[in-house]
Amino acid sequence: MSDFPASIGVDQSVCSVGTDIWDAHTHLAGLPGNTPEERVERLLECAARLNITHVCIFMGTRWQYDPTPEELREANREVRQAVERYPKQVFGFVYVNPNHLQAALDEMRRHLQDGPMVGVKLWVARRCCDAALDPIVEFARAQRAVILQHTYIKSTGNLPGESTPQDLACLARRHPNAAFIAAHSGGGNWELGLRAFRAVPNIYAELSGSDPTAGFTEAAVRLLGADHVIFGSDAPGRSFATQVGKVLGAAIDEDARRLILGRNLQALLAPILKAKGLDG
Amino acid sequence: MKNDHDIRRRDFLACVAATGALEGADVSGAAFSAFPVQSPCPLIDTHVYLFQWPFRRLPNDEPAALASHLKSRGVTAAWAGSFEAVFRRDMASANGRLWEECERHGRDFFTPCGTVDPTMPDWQEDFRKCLEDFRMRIIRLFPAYHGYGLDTPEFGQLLHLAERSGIGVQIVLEMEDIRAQHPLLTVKPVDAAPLSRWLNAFSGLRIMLLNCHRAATAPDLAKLFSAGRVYADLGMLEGMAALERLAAILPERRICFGSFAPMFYFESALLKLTESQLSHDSVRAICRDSAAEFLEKEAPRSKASESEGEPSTHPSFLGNLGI
Repeated sequence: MSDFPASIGVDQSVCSVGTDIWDAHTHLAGLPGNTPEERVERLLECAARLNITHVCIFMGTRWQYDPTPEELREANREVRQAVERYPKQVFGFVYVNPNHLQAALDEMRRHLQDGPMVGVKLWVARRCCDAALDPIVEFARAQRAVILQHTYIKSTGNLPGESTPQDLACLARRHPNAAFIAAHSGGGNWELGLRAFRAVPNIYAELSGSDPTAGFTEAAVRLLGADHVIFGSDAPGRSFATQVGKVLGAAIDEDARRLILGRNLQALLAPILKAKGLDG
Repeated sequence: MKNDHDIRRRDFLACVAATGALEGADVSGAAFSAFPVQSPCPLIDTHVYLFQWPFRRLPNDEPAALASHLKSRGVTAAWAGSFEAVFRRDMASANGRLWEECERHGRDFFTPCGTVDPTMPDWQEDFRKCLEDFRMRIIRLFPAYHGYGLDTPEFGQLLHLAERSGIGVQIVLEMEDIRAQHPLLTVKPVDAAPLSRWLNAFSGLRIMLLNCHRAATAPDLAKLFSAGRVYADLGMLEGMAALERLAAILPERRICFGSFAPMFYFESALLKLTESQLSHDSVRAICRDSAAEFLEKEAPRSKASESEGEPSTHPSFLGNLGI
């Protein structure tokens, strides 16, 4: 007989999730498995333990800061394999490099316009305030695809092509009709990152990829509103647990929690999912 | 269409299945608890702090609020250090305040973990106060913030005293991701490797490494664990199902639950028990048994200690140690 009690007095109102969780930020790199299909299967298995039912995924099985066109094609091919294995649970974002504009647009045509992918991923090849990104943003907007841009502020110094939240604010202001997800929202320096987004309504602050420092989610809700905050994990490099804990542990109301854990991302992706027949 | 009750039931059962924590328990009725913010068993949190972190106000950084927060989530005992001790020079005052707050909020809940900085003049008096005046059973060290490496002789002297007096030693390898620290105060993580020297010298030591998983790899930790009685908390353990992988590498009963609250969301640590597939015994060990063993079990004495009689913290004694 177990000596563990079934209940030890928990504030039930804080505990209720009451919604399936959608994760805006996962990767194939770092997962076990010989194929993208095997890798994504393991990802979903662990995600399900925390009630995460849908994931956005990008960037292939290798990390590449400044990928060549060939490397991009390979990374996107791998992601597409994973997406096609679970088309209604795993949503692919096409990875592009603004330093290779034509290749970027070709990849977006192949996987976004003519394929099953629903978003665009930009990482650290070039700071996103650069005008070189404008054609990429315009193409994505025309497809009703969301753009997820890595943003970080490192006390130790950013990479040369690594965007800050301020860079993304600059880009988003130039494209007020496009939708942007600010991956990491500045990372551990989120107090600074969130400030950059306050006056830019087409940016959604995403919570992934930093330590679960208490107060992050509350600050995001306070500064931007719960309808502009999106859950992401950055798994498998980050733990689903630590990142979900940022939302379940936050002192916010249940409506805000549900928006952050799924409904905001569902709403952002709804038009393109519907257009591709991936909704429902 | 699912209603809330169905969701709660499904989630609760999923949580139970993941932890294996409720064998034989009745889960059919009033025992329902909502997924996932509840400990699967009475929990000893080995890594919390009282008072304020200087760079931001944290939710629950008042002792009463923290105690209430932790208790409501199933924590039955919390080992508390002091944020003040990380930065202040008057260690006796910081330790005294920590002791007072722990007493005020119930010593059966908060266990005070005083701090000693062995680079300070007359640090031995701080150690003596922890041991004799405050009756502390654990000290918590911050080598990175106090500016010493684990290879320094003074650190060895402190460990020797800890062994002889039977006090457990927690060593914090990191407090913040260096990329997120205030630019005027960037502090690198502690290199834990030199610890093996002291583990070999003082076999009765009980060491718990806190926030060690970014500063040391799992194989590095495994080497330290094999060298002596070393434990680790869950703080800063990252990666998908990382606890599952860590439990497969490290010896049984050496991983302790530590939330790093209020700096980190408590739930982020607790949910690791759900994210990883662990045996019933492992969950219980992490939640309670490993910590209890660290705290209560007598350490075997080294030969050197046995030949030197009763421990003494008098400074003149230290001159005879040869370290």
